[in-house]
Amino acid sequence: APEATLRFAHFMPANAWQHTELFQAWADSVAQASDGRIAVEVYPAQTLGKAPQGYDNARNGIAEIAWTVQGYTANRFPLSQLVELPGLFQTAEVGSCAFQQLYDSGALDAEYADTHVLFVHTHGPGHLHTGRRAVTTLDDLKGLRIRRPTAVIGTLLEELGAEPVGLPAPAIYESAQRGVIDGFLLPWEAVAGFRADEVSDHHTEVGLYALAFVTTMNKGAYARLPDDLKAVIDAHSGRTWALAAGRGYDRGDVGGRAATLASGSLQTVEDRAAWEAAAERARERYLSDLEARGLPARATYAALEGYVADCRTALGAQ
Amino acid sequence: MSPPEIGLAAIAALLLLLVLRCPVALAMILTGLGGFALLASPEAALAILANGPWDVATNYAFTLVPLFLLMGNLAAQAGLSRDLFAAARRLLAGWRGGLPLAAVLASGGFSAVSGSSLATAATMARVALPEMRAQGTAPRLAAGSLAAGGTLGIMIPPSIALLLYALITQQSVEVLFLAGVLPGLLAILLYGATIAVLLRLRPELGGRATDPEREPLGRALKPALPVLALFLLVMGGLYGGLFTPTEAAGAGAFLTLLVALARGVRWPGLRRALADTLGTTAAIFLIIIGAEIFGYLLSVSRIPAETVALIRDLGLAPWMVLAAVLVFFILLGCVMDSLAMILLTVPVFYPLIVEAGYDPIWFGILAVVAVELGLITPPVGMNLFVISSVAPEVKSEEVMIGALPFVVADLLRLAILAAFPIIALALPGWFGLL
Amino acid sequence: MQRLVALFDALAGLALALLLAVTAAGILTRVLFDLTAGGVDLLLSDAVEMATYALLITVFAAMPRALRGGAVTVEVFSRTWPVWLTTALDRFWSLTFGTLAALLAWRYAEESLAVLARGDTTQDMQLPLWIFYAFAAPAFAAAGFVALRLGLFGAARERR
Ligand code: NA
Ligand code: NA
Repeated sequence: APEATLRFAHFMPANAWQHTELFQAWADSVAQASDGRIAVEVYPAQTLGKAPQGYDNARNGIAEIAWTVQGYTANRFPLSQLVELPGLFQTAEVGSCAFQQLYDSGALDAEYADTHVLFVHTHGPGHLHTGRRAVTTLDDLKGLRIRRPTAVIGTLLEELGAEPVGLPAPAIYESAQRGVIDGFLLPWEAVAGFRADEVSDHHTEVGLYALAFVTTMNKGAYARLPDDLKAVIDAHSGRTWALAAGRGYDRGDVGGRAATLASGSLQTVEDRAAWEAAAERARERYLSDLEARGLPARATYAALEGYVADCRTALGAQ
Repeated sequence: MSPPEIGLAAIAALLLLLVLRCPVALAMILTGLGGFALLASPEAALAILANGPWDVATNYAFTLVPLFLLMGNLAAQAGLSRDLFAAARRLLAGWRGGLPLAAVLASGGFSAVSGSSLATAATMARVALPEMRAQGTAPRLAAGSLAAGGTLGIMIPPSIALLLYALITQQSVEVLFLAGVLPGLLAILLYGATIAVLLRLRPELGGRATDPEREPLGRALKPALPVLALFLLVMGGLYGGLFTPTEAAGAGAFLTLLVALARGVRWPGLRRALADTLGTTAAIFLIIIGAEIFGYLLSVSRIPAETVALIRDLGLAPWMVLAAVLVFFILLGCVMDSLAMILLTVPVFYPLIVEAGYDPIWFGILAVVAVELGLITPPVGMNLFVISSVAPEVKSEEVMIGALPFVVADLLRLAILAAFPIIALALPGWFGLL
Repeated sequence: MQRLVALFDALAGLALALLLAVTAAGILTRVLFDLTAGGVDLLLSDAVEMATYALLITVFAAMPRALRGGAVTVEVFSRTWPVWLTTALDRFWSLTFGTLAALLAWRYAEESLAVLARGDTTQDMQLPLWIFYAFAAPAFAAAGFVALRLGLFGAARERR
């Protein structure tokens, strides 16, 4: 029998690639590296806690490990959500590498003081998907009701002239079908997952944002492990698994883009300067907002930009 | 103990607590917390105690529950239940046994604006029982037809039971609502046939024939028009691409409010509708919260996964799995509250049914028919209690005996729906939703 | 105690009315916006979140009422038991339920302070999240009080 059983909770469905290729792969790897002394049970689809409570559930031991989106609890991880700001990176691999380096630098320690973080990562750039109206300029976007994933990205949508609408992700399909929203933001990888490709005809590839993710462990559960098993968990933390997650998302984007465009039309932005000006205003708003609350947002953002440059070089990415 | 053993012990403890008069929600909370404390830690158990109510109260999908309840209660205050019964009566005027038939028909009609079986049974019993008594209908036939008619509340859309099934299994609530329409109409047919057979065997049960004056069909049906209009507007908006399901619930309640106001319902009536809605909402959400907390234990006990593995090892044929699940539902329905039954058993059985290759929408309909059966099977049949409380002068034994023929009708319906999945799936397929 | 339940009933009723109003207004403003091709823009972009938190108030405010005899119980097995036994059991379960509710009130009060210190907000309206935990605490405290009183003094005295 294993010496320790770790329950790993996440909110993706059991048939999603994240469940099999990322979390179950992590679980199997830990089991193998510990010669079966650690067993990891993966609980998909919110069967062990709802998505917004993921972090707290790992903190208070409902699950020993949880994977969640920082932005689901607005204002709780303000510095981590800097990675959501527009235009920082073009692939999830680079984004995850830089985000993990930022975490490793200690700059985010205050936000995760009550759990033991295993790794952080991002998804690939999120794009704009619309129903009837094709969007290639800010004029096209004006007044459209667009579902925004987090509050930070809501600010960006406002600067772009759209009407940000708050909705739980599973409600995207029914809301787009009924015209409650005119469109939504998602990376290519996620479009088919919510059947959102069926309710969007036009896909504007602009790379507006990327979400932050964290996989974190209950402190007590980590502390209880003997040193050699702690070492196994440590070996399954940090850069290696951040990169694995990022690469998974990049692969997902390649497949998702092809599948989505098989039945939809690709749009490209014509007035890129205007979009970039809007993105700059949104970035400025978020940074000065955090600075006003006494957080070192500008310094952290500058460090993040540096890590992105380092990671691009190190990974040979564009 | 292994996790599945702790899970089984918790289920046994749950049943024991129910026997000891522990409220259903409290029993689920206590055994859920106890089991979780053993499997994880007391701190984690305390955390799921706090998570349970929060998960439920912040779930946008649950806004449907109070809105559809409010719609039904406003419809009752607006006199729509009375009108439906009047229309059904006139339609069946001159028939011996016309009143119980009218009660079933009107219950079916009221189900189109009510999401709850208990509310449907209570509302229609208040309207129809006095008249049936006056007309000399045997108390047991009157009570039985109303108890059975009330179960339609959760088969004909809107339905809180189908909503809960949709949430647990991540199926589409609009598809499930549509799938419930034909099985609901089939129930009206079978209940009608049951009454006809009963009266053939024991004509004296029917009492005096209703007043023989027949009216032209159009005039007879006129009082039913507002309900028909409400149903068509709400469901039309939902399936015509105007509303999301939650908006349909809001639109339904709002339009019914307008009808109520137009018909002269004022603050006392509105207050009554609001109070009735809050009472039912409180009871339902308490059970949902209990099931949410117990659900955490059910997950970590791995009972759902272990059951699937066990059945796979036994190598049972799919139809045997289905039959076993349905028999279990029927037995459990005799002693268990209906919503609690859905919330507790669907997470366990759903993976089995999917594994056996059956359609999840169709299984949802079968599960709800089984739950409807539970509402009218003694000893614990909530609709029987409702009728008893509306008509205290009818002995509860009479109510139970009166419901038995309809239990037979529901068993027959379950068999028909199991044998012909097309009855449930035809409408969603026709709308291109499958 | 009647007044305590009535107070929370009133709050639940208000929240339910708000839920209805928000849902209906969400549809009406959208239809208006689309019919006027964007000319009349009264869109409620936060309708979903408003509805969600109205539901939260409704559900929590309904808890005192739920614990005052609104809980579904299976009575069939105990039908033939002596009255003193069933009364004793009912009081015991009321006490247990009341204790759990009191525990919840304490948890939510604590959580409210933690969330206040962190400054978490809701996603769309950016309302401080601690307010909602701070509402849950007194709602469960009231529910706990109601149930504990029922357990200690019984239902008969309550009716008088
Ligand atoms: Na119904
Ligand atoms: Na029953």
